[in-house]
Amino acid sequence: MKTLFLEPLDVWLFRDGRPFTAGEQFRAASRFPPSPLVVQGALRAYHLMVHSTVPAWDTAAVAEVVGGPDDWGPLRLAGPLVARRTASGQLEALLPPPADAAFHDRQLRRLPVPEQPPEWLRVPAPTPALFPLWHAGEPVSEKASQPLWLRLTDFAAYCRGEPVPGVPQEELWAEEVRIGIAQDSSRRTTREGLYYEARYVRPAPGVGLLVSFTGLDWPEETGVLALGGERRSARFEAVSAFAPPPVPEPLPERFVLSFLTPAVFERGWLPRDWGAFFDGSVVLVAAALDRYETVGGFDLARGRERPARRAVPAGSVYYFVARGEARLRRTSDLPWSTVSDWGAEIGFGTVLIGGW
Amino acid sequence: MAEASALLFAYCETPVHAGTGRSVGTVDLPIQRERITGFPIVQASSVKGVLRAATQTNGADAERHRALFGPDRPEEASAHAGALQVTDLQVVLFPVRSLAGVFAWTTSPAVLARLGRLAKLAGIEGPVDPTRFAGLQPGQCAVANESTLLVQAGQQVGVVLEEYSFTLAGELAGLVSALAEWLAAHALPQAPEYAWWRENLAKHLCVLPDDDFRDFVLYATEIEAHVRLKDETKTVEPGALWTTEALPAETLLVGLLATTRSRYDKVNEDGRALLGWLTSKLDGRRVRLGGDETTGRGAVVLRVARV
Repeated sequence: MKTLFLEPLDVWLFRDGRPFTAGEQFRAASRFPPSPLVVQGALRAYHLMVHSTVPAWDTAAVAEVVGGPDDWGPLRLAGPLVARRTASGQLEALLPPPADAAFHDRQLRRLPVPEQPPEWLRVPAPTPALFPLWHAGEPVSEKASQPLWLRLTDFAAYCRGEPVPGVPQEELWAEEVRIGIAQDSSRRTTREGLYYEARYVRPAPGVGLLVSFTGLDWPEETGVLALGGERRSARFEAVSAFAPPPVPEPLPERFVLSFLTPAVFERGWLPRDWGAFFDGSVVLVAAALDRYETVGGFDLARGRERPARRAVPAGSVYYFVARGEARLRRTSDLPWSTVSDWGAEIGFGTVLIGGW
Repeated sequence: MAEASALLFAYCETPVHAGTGRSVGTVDLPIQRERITGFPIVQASSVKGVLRAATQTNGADAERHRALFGPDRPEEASAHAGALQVTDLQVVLFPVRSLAGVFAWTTSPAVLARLGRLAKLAGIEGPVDPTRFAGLQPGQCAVANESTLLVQAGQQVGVVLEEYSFTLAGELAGLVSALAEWLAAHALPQAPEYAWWRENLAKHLCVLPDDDFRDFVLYATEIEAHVRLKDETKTVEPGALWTTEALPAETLLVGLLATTRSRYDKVNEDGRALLGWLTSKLDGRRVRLGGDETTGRGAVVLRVARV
C-alpha cells in the first residue's frame, strides 16, 4: 500500500459538473475535496506517463497498463481525505462535517442516539420506519454558519457522544476567484465574448489531500503530478504509517457507517442491497445525510463526458443494528473500507465504523 | 526519470500589471494576489499564454510546440493534453525604497521556504534553510556584511525601508550572502548587461520577518493615476479617472515548469527532451507579461534553472 499526501503548488480547480463552455457560460465553480474519480485519474495518468513507455494515443496499450475508462485495472484506492500538517510536522486527517452533528462554540457533538419512533409518528409507508435523529424536549441543534471538520483522532470520542473541538472550514481553504480572458495573439487584443470567471480552491499552507492505494507501481517518494482542472500542480510525498482505526470484528450490535467520501447507490440514498456489504444480518435504523452531490467528469479514453451520477455526500451517517454476528466485507487489502454500489474500488464510499 | 521540472524565474525590468480586472478596494485595477497570503502573483493562465506565444514556431518545432502546450484551437482541446504544467509565478524578491542604497530587495522566510520547496522539486539544491531565519523578530532584518542599506544613527546601525526602521540580526549576515550568491547564480539572467545586478544583489538583499514583508508587498506597490483627455479641449473627460496597481520594476518572481512525455501522436519525445527544447527557447528571453504593454509595462527577462 502506498499513501500519498498531495499539496498544491498554487491553486486547484475541481469542477462541480456544471457546463462551462467557451462563449456560453462564463462562471466555473470548484469544489473541495475532489471526488475519488479525479484522484484516480491523476494517479493513473501519472503512472502511465512516468512509469510506462506506452504511447498515450494507443488506447488498447494504455488499457493494458492502467485499465480502461470503466474498469480500474488493478488499482484500489481509498480517499481522498483532507489532511493538514500540524506544528510538529505530523499529518492530521480531517473528516467531513458529520451530518448528525450539532455545532456549538467551535465544538461538534453528535445528536442524541436515535430512539424507537413513537406510535403517532408511524405512517403506513411501504418502507420500515426509521428512528428519528432528535430527542423530544431537548434543544440539540443550532444552525451553524460554518461547518466544522472532525479530526480523525476524535472520531471515537465523537461516537461516544462527547463534545470534541472541530476545525472550521475557513482554516482549511479559501475560494480564489480569478478572471480570465482570451487573447487574439496575432492582434494582441482581447477576444470578444471570451471572458470568464473561475473559482479556484486555495488550501491553507500545510493543507492537502491524503490518498491510499494499491495496484500501481510507484517508486517515487516525492514529485509533481497534475491534479484536477487546468493541469494544476500537486506536490506528492509518500507518507508512512497512516491508517484508520481498525474495523471491529465482529461489528458491535449498534454501529454507524460514517462516509468520508461520496457513495453512489442504486436506489438514491439506499444501495441495491445492504447484504452486499455485510456478512450477517444488519438493519438500518436511522440515517443523517445532506442533499445529493453530482459526480461526473470527463472520459479521456472516449473523449466525452462521463454520465452524471447522484451520490450520497461525504459526511453522511447511517445507523445500524446488527442481528447476531455481522462483519463488514473487505474489498481490498487497504485498511480502509468502502461501501458503494459503484466506484468502491477507487474510493467511493470510504467509511469509518463507529458505535452509537 | 521521465518527468522533468525546472524553475522559471521572471525578472521585472519595467512595472508589471498582471491585473484582476476589478476590485472592491481603493485601487480600481489591482494586481493579482493570493487569497490567503496577499502576496502578489502572476496567474498560471497568463504565464502559459505568454510562454505559448513566445515559443510559437513553424516546421518540425511546431509539432513539438503543440506537444508541450496542447492544441491551439479550442475545438481540438480534447484531442490530447499538453505535456507542460505551469504554476503561478510567486514573488521572491520585492524592491522597497531604502534610505541608503536607493532600494532593497526584500524577501522573507515564508517566501524562501516556498522557493526551497520548488527548487527541490526541480532537483536543485535550495538556497538556504529558511528555518534559520525563523528567529527574526518584528522590526528586525538580516542583511549581508557588505550591505549598502546600512544607516548609522549615533551608536545604532540599522536599515530604513520606506518610513520604517529595522534593527539588525547580525548573526544571519553570512546566510544572506549565501542566499545572494545562489540567486545570482540561479535566478538572475546570465547576460552581460545583468552583471551589475548579479554583483550588487548581496549589497541590496534584505530578509524581513513574514509580517513586515507582507505589509510591503501589500502597501508598497506602484499605484498610478490615469486620466483620459478629450481630444478637442485637452481637458479630462468626466468620469475618466482611474488608478492601476503594478508590481515595481526589479521584482523577481518564480514558478515551476514540469513536463511529462508527449501525448501527441506526432511527437514521441520524453519530458526531459521537451523541457530542454522549451528551455532553449526561453532562457534569457525578454517577454511581455500582463497588461498595458504598449505603455511599457510588463517587460520581464526569463531564466530557466534546471539540472
